[in-house]
Amino acid sequence: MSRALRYTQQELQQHLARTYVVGTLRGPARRRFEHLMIELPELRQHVQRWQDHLQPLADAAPAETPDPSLWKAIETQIAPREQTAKSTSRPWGLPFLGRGLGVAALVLLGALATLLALRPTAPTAVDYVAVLEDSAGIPVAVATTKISTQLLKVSILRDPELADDADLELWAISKTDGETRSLGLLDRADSGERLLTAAETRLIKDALSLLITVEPEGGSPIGEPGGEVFSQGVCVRILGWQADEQSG
Amino acid sequence: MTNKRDADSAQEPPSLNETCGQLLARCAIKDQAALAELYKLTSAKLNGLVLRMMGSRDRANDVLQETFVQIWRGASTYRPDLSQPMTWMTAIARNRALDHLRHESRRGRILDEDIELETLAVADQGSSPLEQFISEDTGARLRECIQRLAQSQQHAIFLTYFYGYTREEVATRLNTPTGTVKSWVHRALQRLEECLAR
Repeated sequence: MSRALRYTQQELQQHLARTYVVGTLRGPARRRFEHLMIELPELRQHVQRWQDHLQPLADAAPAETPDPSLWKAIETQIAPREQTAKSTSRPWGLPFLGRGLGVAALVLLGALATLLALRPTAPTAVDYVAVLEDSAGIPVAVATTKISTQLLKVSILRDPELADDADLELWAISKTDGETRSLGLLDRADSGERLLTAAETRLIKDALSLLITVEPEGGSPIGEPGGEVFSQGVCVRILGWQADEQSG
Repeated sequence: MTNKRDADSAQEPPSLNETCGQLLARCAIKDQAALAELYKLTSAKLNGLVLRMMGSRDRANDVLQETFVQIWRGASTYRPDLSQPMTWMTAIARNRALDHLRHESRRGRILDEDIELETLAVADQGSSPLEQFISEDTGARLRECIQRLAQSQQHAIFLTYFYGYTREEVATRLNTPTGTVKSWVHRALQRLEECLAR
């Protein structure tokens, strides 16, 4: 009993993390721990370490084919539904919840298909893709970047209806330090292509997510987003589609 | 700018984790074909875990469905710099299962016979039939560390990790006081930590 009193905070945290991963932490205690994990990065690190430690155990369980009807059930559950026009304000930074995408999804998928498909004359492989959503979770812009040519292409899927003296500005939110840095203004046209500087290319590679805001003409005067957010989305790395493309 | 990775992977096929990483990235931008591919590659593997924890195929199906829906919805939160794709997906599957087990005890559940027999083997024979499946390369260290544990500690770890037993249920199965099981688990985890840290 007295042993317990000698535990440091760190030891306690590690102990809880181990029981969480192994599965002996259950019930209300487990839920409390999950809430704590949201707030304490050190807890998440302990948990991650233990998940890594025990992964060979997980891999050891012999595979068991699931019920053949299961995939259909999953497909049905995640299928896009028609969106109602109501926009629910959602805090930024929450993971995309995969709710119905509605009509915008068809436009989006078309845009993506065009961007990513093999074209007979000039195949285009992209390296980084971001799908940016508005506050209702509807995709309204797609940004793709090809690193070797430093080419950024942003397709705006829905007219932002800008005032004459306003501009759209693109920002990258860094994975490394969480800072938001400008990638410059966007063309008002439906889709603009632009050559990035070497520094801007590095911002894309380092980006956790991209952000588009509505700023005064010429861009935000303060060097950080000041205007209304038009859309935001995670930026992911997609390896080039063409096998014969030697990235150079 | 030469991409060394691409040059190397021209010789070797991508590992499961590499492929899953790409598929998760595509899921993050809502490419449903990527989820279908991910399902093909990993559903049986994840089901192997889930089935043993839930004890019945019916319940395993429910959990597996929730798992893939959560993978789909949460793909944009997956951080490749923090964990391997299979580790991330395994955690989702096991957490879903443990969530379902929250309201159930084994006694009340109807369990598939083959899984029950497997758990009996663990309880009675003192080692898990699954031990043999721990990978030679990725799991050698873990296997070594597990084998250093006392038999009773190994029982307890296997029954909880693979079969979702609570410590009380382990106590019942092994006909031992719950307090004893708690200390087995506690010591086992501590010793594993020390062993793996070396």
